[in-house]
Amino acid sequence: MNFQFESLADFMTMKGHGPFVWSAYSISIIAFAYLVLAPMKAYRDMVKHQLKKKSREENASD
Amino acid sequence: MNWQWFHRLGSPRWFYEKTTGWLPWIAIVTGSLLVVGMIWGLAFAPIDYRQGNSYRIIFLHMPVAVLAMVGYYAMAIAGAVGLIWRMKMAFIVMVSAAPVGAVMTFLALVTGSIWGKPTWGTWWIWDARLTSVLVLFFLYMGVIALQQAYQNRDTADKACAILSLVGMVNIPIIYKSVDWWSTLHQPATIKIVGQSSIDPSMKYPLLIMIAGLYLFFTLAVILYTRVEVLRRESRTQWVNDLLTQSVNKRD
Repeated sequence: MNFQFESLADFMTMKGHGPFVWSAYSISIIAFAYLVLAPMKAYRDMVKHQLKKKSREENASD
Repeated sequence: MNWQWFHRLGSPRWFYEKTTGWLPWIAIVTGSLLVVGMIWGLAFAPIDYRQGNSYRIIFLHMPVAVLAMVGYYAMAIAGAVGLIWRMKMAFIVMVSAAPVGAVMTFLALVTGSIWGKPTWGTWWIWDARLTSVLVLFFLYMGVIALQQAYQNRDTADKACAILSLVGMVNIPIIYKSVDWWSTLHQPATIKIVGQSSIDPSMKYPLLIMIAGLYLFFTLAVILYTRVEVLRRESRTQWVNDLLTQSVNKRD
């Protein structure tokens, strides 16, 4: 199994197909990252909400 | 037969606590498969003698397109289980599979379009395969919109389950479209039964990407499901304790 390109520049341009291949991969990686980060952010928001609730309760009991 | 596992599976709390331990392992295996598959596909798989380097998009395009359909089945079957057995957990999985499946369908359309430009000379054509996948994307969006359209969660769940089940008719149409209508889109290159028309040097990275993206799909659905569990069980003691614990860890 060998590296299929002559140089790094050749790898980037892919004989003219570089923009197509690289944009397809970048868009996909961004979308995959979104699918992981969106639920993680939702979880963090819930924790923040809980923090507010907790401080409200503490203030109320004072 | 022991049905205990089935009842446990129906408990959102059990699901949440079980998956907490699984997540890091699934994430490590998924990440490794995707990194290896992408590098192999981009740099080490041989160039295609007819399409040139643009064919390297197949390593993403084909697995995400498969998952767009598999995800729809998963969503619809979860909806059916929810309707038949009134299982809370099934509806939660159905609701969580929708955004993940929608992103997969979106990616199948976008990567296909980018691949189409250098290969067919056009970004888009109203070919049977492309049109039926676009319909799939609208079905996913329909389920997501329907879920948010109702005030009452039970009504929303039932409506989404029914829409998912009705939309299932589209999946065999997508699958067979390249055989029924002779179109620009090429027929399947990997066959479970019979000879694949793809060379092993390209097949192995493709299989790695398929495995990696199946796992990634599972991982994403689990992540969405966990958040939805917390959202729906937010008034219970265990969720309250769990979030309070997280708050204390931050302090």
